[in-house]
Amino acid sequence: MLFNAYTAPAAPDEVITLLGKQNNRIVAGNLWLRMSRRTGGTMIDLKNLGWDRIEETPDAYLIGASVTLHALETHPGLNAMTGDLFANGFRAVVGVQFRNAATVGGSLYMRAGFSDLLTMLLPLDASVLLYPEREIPLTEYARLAPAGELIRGVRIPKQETRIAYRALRNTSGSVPVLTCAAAVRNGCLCAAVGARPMRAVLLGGPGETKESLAAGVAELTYGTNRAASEAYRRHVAGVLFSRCIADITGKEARV
Amino acid sequence: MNITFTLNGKTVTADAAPDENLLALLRRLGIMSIKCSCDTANCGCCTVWVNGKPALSCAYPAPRADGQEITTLETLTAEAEELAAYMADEGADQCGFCNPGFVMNVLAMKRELTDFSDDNVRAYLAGNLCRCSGFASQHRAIAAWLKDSGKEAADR
Repeated sequence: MLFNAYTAPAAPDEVITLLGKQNNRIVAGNLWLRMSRRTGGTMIDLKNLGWDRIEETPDAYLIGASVTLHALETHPGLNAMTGDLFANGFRAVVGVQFRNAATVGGSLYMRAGFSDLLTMLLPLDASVLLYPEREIPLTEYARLAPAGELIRGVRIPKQETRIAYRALRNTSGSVPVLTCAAAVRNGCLCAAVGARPMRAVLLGGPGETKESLAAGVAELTYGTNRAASEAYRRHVAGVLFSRCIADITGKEARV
Repeated sequence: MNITFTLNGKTVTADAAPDENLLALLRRLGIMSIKCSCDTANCGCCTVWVNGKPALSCAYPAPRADGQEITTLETLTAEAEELAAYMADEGADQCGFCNPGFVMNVLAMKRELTDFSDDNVRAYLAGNLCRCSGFASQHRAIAAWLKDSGKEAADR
């Protein structure tokens, strides 16, 4: 993507103003946008907004939008709470250099079907922190991203958690053809399935059993693209779900 | 636009186009260790350190380097030569094009990891691709160098 100008605003309101003009784009990791053929406009860099930190409060982790995937995967507190969910889940995402550029905000903004991050966050009751001040459940954001608001971060509440994540890739380092996470949060069983190739959705809640959840996974909508067929994805989803359940069975609940 | 950053320990001021990447800027400044290979942020040949962390200079916008600390292989010669000797012993060099990026990432890994198990080392270096080798000789060389450097898998 070719830009005519570059700016790194000091305040989010400036970013919103800049985004009002056509072709101006926020560039986060610049891993996806650089492949675009679009030209013109201003590159907007969020580096001066201070959204590159992970903050721990008594009841949650607040992850800034500019936090990189590598910072997330090496965070001791988050990995302790989730049983190394991010440390293991991101291992196959290209390489460390790539993950030092890819950001939480950029990944969520895309709401891509192949997003490992989205699938991992959905069962954690994550919410999206928007600017100006608003917080919406990630499940809602995944369905419909609100226009005119910036992602300033993600909130993950601290809860008793057992979670596992699995993804199938055709080759090492490529985007997944199917992602699955299963979790027990405060006694409730849930699962997220993504790269269907559509984006991840969350199933489950109070009273859900692994059998009823397995049935729900099987009934989801799957599709065919160059990477895999609908039938293959539907089959693999069941397999990955079973393996995630096996992974969390017997896992010590962590807070 | 003019940007000022630290390059291999020295303050540098340069003119960077809005959509220029760091790879192009650094090569314009005479830093030739960095190679442009895939140009799609996949192969690791363009690896530099930004504030001590390995990054893909082909995807890093040059204007973003303003105020940052950039490190390339040119300033890590002593360590790189030590590793290169192990690479040579194992026949891990063929065309050599991937080597600078590989070495940058290996040196970053040495500084960052605490558990140097084979799995962790391979996972850390997964972002460096080599068209010539099967990676086996490189991993043998790196494993030997790590062992001689006192970096081993953590006790489990």
